[in-house]
Amino acid sequence: MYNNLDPLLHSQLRLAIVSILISVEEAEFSFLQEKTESTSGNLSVQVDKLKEAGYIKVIKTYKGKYPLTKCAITKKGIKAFDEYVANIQRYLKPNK
Amino acid sequence: MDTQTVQNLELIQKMIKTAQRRFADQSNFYLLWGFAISLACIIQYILMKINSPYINLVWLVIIPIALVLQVIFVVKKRKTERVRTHIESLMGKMWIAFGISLGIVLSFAGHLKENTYPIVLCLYAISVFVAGGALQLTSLYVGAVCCWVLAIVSFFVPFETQLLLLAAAVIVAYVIPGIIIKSAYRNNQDV
Repeated sequence: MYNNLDPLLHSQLRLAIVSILISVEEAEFSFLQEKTESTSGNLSVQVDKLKEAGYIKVIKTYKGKYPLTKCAITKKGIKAFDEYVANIQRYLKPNK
Repeated sequence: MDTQTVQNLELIQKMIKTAQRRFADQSNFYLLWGFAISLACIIQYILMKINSPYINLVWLVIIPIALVLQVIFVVKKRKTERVRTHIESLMGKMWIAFGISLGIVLSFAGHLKENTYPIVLCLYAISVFVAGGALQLTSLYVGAVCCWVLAIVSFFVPFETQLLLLAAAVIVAYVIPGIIIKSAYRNNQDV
């Protein structure tokens, strides 16, 4: 009736990260932390998982003297997110 | 129905809204160019009235100063921005395209003669209209319509009067929306 939901996205924090990144070109780590209301440790672990899956890319740079981490969604991430949303919709409205 | 699936759908909507509602305060750019161009037009008009030999000097002084301030604002914005939305990125490209088009028109002003400023006003109208759509700001739409109307009028008036019309257009299309954007940003409201 419906496809299995992507286990990588079927987690609240990872889904929140991808949902933010799908709406923007790029976002700083601190912005993601603030909007997802997560700890830096937990966020860092989930960001790494998404990066390993190729769903997001992580850009390490500098702002003045300080290191800065930015995240952006990849084409693979956009496709996975679209499929996840389509599967949820099918799941909620199975007759369609 | 799986509760987590429903919660996830709500989470997606919440996160997308959170990210999309953000707009960096870009009022400085509107105020800078609005004041720079209107000031240059008014000074040039006065210089023409008093038959000064330095009528074009005002642009050679004011525009480089405005460009330096523009670079400072861009560097400052890059340092403070934590997220860049697709709309902001698209707007950046639109302003680059506008700058190139404006540069080409002004470079060939000798060929266009008294048609230069009406064409410049049309370029202003396009950029301000698109910005109005991106920021959902009525005052920018009003500014765009004002630029189009003044562009038509400019085809029928002498060069001196065109200067005053250009000054009026940038005050309506840049300065007033700039003040509204700054005020909305300070009050932390959606513009």
